[in-house]
Amino acid sequence: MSRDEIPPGTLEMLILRTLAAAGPLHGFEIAEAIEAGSCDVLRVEEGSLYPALQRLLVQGWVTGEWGRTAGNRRARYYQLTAGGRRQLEREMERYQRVSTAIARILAPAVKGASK
Amino acid sequence: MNPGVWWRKLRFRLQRARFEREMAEEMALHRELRTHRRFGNTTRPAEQSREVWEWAWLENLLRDFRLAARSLRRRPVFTAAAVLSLTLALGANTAVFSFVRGIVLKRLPVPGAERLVHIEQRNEMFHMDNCCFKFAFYEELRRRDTGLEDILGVSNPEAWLSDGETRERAGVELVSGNYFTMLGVRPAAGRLLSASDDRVENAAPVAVISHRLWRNRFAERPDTVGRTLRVNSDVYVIVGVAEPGFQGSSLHDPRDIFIPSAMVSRFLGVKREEAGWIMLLGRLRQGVSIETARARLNEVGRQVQKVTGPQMGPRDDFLVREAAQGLGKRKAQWGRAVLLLMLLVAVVLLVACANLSALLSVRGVERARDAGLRAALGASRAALVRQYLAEAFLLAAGGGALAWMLARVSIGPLLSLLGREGAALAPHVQPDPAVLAFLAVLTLASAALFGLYPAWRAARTLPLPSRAPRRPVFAALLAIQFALSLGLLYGAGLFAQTLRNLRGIDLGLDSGRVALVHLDLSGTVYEGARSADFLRRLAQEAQALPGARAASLSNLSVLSGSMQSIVLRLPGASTRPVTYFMGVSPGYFATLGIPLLGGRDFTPADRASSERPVIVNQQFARQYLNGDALGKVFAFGGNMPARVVGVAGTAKFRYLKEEPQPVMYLPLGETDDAWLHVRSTVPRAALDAQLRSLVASLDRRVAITRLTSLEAQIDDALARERLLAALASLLSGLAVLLAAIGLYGVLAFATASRTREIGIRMALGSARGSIARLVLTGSLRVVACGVALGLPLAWGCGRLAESVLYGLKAEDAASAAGALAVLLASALAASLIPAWRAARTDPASALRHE
Repeated sequence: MSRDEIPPGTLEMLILRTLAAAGPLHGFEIAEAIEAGSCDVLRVEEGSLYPALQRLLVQGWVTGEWGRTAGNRRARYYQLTAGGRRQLEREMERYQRVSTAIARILAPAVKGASK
Repeated sequence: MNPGVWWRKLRFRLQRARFEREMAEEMALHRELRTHRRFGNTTRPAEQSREVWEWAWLENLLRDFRLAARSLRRRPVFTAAAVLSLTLALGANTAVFSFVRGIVLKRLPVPGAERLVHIEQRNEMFHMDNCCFKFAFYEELRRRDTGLEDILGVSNPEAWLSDGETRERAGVELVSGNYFTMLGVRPAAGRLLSASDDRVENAAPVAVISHRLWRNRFAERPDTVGRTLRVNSDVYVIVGVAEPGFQGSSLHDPRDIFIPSAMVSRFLGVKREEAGWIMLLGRLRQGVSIETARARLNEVGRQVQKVTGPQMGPRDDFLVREAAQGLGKRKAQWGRAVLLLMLLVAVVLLVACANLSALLSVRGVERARDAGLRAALGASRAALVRQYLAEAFLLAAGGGALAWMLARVSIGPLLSLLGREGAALAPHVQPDPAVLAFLAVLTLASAALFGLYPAWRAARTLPLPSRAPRRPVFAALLAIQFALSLGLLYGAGLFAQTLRNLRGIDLGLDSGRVALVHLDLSGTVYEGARSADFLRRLAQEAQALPGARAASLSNLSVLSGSMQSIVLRLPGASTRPVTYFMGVSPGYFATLGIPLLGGRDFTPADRASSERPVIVNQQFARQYLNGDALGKVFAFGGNMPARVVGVAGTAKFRYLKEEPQPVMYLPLGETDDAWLHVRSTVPRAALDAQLRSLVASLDRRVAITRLTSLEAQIDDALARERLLAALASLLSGLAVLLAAIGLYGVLAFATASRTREIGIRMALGSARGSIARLVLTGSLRVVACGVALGLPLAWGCGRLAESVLYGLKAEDAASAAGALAVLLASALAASLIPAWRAARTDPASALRHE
């Protein structure tokens, strides 16, 4: 089973989106949620997940609170802040703009191939 | 940067251990839950996570400083020596700068102080500058166009401030009505004085007090306004308090009580319109130069004086001087000496920097292998330069911090070197924030000055280690130190000789162990004729004290700068010369050790006679009476007849440095204040106690306003020269010591790195003596360069100091020879140990030396 790496810079957006949809999650749950949400197309590397979470913490877009998992293990639960929600909107808007532009450039080639 | 981010990063720095712990726990959980896949490298994500939180520049900086600190700790002797020399050099600069700031840079705390000017008039006849004008002249001058925005008038008497029990001296300023508005002073409470307070003479006994007096005497109580103040024997209503920090129109002579000039007769005993008593301070109009104002004033002032008087001579110009510090003369008196000192300490700092630069470069060579290794392991050139600079900054910071403490403790003793002047300057010569800022800048600048070259050198020689130091640069750094030291030593020699010359001046009197007591009889029962009786009794009792040899009174004290002068009418002379004069009691000449060359001393009976008996000094006799004075009759002042009954030796009158001056002595008459002179064999402290209890036993109400000695008075007159001589010797000693340490350090390194070469020379038959000579000639060459550079420098220093020298020229062979001798001796001492060590090299082990 081959899975794709997440394009650089979009991981933070995906984390914010996941937290916005699912509420407080710990690191492993975030990774699982992203992978499941992409129908296992995307793979979340631990090596990028934790630094990305730290960046979000430093910027104040998420907060981390220690809590208990279902299996009664201590885990840090991340939660979106108001600033994080605004940032998510900004990022999604920007992503939309960029991907529409890229799609526009790619469109003729796609048309040509379908002929 | 976002403040929230800043705050979170700062919290991270403070809770780093907790962060690490939580990170590890979080990852462990992740690893456990994700069983189906290997977590991979766990260090790297943790590290990357940590980096997110760090300030990269700060971490680098801290690492540089940690490395630097470690490397300095490894060389405790070097580090201690470097910090010590920086402490002394920076401390001296800081202490002296606080003098420069307090004496030269500070201004009156009023807006537009830089445009203030002090107006005086030259008085050709009395050989002095007239400080004081008639009130009518002041009023008329204010109305004319003089290029000045406004002019204020003041007088600064001392007065007794009393409340029932206690009496204390206080500085009063009698002020014209426009005083506070012109200076732009605001009230801290109540109101200030205005023109209406000053209109009618003696009509408004009101006073404004300084904030200091309000705090010290009234504890800043708001009900102070409206209360009364007893000044001398009059009662004044306090109408207001001036703003904090304002202490009158002279920066270094603080005043606490401001009273309308309409009250002048209560203080000076003259009506406001009489005599000349008012001092003038003007403010230049924007854009008007001081020269323009001077020219304008000389034109207008003369016209006004024709009407108001006094008539002045054709050469009696008006003097207009910059007065950002107000009326005082301390800047004129001390400014030059203080700036000279600043120059001296700056030179010492340069020596210290050159010294450290040389020593750090030597260390750099010794550490080249270490640096090469770091470079080989991938450290960048920049990182190495940063580490070396960090070392320099650490040394400087250590030196700077200790220098601050040194400066704080040394300002007091330095002020005491100034004698009585020191006390007056003390409130302004303080280690305040401005001085601290100066030290901070100086510390950083010196770190850059001595740190940059070694750092640059170390980086440039990478990655090839142990390249020998470049001789010319080392030689130059050492030569600079010796050159600057020579300049300082020369200056110290000049100042020391100046002081010796001044001390050697023949005073014409015997200054040993004469106590001086100034008594103020005003406000006591001894006014008018009764004062003479009281004083005579006092002198008699003083003479009877155990150990007392002689006692007498006068109305002024010699060698204090004060004087009185009066016009003479000599028989057969067309001109009316002026002479100094003073009133003395019988026994004055014996007390001061002034010889009586002819005639007799005064007797108690002399006071009553109508034709005043006078004693003149030899200079007077020579200059005005053809050398034959005894029995001659002349008149003085308003045609007061006088007959010469005695001739005394010529003694110094006002200043040590003065040419022989004619002096006329009169029998001491009625007076409000007097100086009691007592010559005694009793030590100073005991004598002072005797005199205090004597005065108290006669009458407790009579106040001793000063208790000093003739020697202390002379010391005060020499305060400036003493300060310069003491500090110049100290500083030049320090500079020479530093230069010698520098020379020793470089030579020790150079000979150590030449051990192998020396071994070969010895194996080939060189004698030990010739090896030692090799080292010594090397160091002598450096010193010779220093001397060649330093001699012109020394001459230059001498030129700058010329105005404060006495009895010698700026080019002084003895000082030069002395400076050279000290320099060569210290250079030789510094070279002997390395030379001796080189000569003792064992050729066999030296050849095995790697």
